[in-house]
Amino acid sequence: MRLAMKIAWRFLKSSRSQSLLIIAGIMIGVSVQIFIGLLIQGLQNNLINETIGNSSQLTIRSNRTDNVIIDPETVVEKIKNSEYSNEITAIVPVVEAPGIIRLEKRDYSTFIRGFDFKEADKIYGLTQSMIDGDLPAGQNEVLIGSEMAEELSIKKGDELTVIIPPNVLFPKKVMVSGIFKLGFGSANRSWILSDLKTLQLLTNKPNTSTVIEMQIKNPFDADILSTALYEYLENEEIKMSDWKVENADLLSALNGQSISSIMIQVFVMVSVALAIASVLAISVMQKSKQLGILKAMGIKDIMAGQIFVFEGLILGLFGAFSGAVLGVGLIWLFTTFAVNPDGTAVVPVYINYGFILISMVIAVTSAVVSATIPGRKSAGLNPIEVIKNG
Amino acid sequence: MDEVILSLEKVNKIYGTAVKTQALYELDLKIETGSFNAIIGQSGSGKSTLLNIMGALDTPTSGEVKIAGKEIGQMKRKGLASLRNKTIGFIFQFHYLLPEFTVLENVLMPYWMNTFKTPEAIIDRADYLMKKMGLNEVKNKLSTNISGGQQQRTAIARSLINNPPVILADEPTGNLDSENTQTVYELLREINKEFGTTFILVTHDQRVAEMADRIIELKDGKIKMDVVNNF
Repeated sequence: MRLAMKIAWRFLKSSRSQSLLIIAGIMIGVSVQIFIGLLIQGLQNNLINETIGNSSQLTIRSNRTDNVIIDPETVVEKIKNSEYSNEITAIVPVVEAPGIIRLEKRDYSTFIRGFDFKEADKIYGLTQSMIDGDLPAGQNEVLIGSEMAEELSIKKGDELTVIIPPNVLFPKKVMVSGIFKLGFGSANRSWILSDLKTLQLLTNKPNTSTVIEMQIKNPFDADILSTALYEYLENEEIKMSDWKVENADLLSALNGQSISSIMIQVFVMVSVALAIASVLAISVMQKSKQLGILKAMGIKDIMAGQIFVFEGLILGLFGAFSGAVLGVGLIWLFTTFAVNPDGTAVVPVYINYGFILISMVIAVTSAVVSATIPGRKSAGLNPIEVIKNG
Repeated sequence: MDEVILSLEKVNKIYGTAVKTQALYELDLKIETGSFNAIIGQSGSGKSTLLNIMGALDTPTSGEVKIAGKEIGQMKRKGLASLRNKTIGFIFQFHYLLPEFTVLENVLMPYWMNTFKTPEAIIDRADYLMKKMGLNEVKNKLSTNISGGQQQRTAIARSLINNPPVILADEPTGNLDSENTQTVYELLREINKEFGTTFILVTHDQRVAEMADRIIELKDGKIKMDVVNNF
């Protein structure tokens, strides 16, 4: 085995320019694979983050006719004490209700949501989204969206009259403690946020919520977790929904993108493997005299084959390492020079070491596998042909 | 001396399928252990075919070939490779050294095919052989960077590293000048005496043939003459 490796190394060294050419081929293949792979992953992560990063990924809704979840805290506690608690990063009962802000001259339609701000902050990132004021400190305090504040000329500290149907006869007064600006326009235009107790009072439905929202560790497993939680909760008064169902179009677009990215990577790898196989096959012809001599001296067929497998391995290793360096370099160039006016990258790319390692392993494996074709040819060579032909 | 190391019985060799060419006809031959033999004959007489069959590089169309007591017709490729490695040493007209390796590495190559670990005794043997062949000065040079005579002597040292009982040489001096031819012949003779190695030389060179113990002349694939040379 070590002799085969030594011979392989010397063969490669003696045809230096040919070896460097194959290494360059593998290097370019691997770098393209890593570059495209990381870029697409970055694009997808970015898109997913923009879409579901600040919203509920798994939602428990009511299955009752009055559309409320009774005693939501018990449901939350039950989930927190379950084996699934590790999968969940934030869980918060929310009361949602359409509402009206009564102004002097006109009414303004809103969507009022009430939740525990501390837990909801993990989902909505409210603390970072505040453009004025603070989160509500007590009951009857609310936050409003930036567009609404602008349109209605509402400032921090103003008092609002809120009506929640069907309780139109009982308008409530609330105080604006701050103004937020979230990533999606509809929230900034129509949301009023308050704490859970205030909303339960406004809707006159104590100890209930309309939904329980969750963010989870692995958003792509939302459907699996959804089914598991539903079975675990054994509650016919609730139903589950997850972001994958609600964003089916986005998911299918992402899947399409993933598949096309994988196709590109597979074709790149196949062409690299074919290039290695064909160049090594030529190398067997070039080295047939040496192989004949080795065979006449008694090298075993298997070792004669191993020489080319080791050539494939050495070329694959050099190509994969240099390709990884080039690929990461390209990504660095891309994130450094392809930037938005504010200096952030057009596509924020995360260096996925696992993916890079897998790309390298695939390259080395395909180099070795494709080298077995010339290897088999070398193993089957008959020394007498070479000796006769000089 | 009269123990047989290599024997051929009714060996035929036919090349080609559509157009058949018979290179050897019903050939019987016995080579004694430790003897120094020359095979002569004109071009196309079947000398090289005979040597290749004796060296397990080629197989006869029919007949039996025994090398060191083993019938090679029954052996698989792996067994034949092992036989070539341990029992037979080859010296060809063209040195056939590996250009990617140094003189010392070329000499050690047949040993490395069995085990890559090189014990002191093998290094000593390689050194001894290279010294004997006058290659000490060039042992670390690439085999392409030495003279033709040195290359052929390297090939001889290589054929001896595994101490095989039989050396087959196909025109070993064919590419050398008369001075180098004499040197190589003397070296082969010395080895024959020192190690008791059996030599079978295919040669055109009448002077080389006349220095052998036994001269076998081939003509048209048959033995025309088989004489013991009494010098």
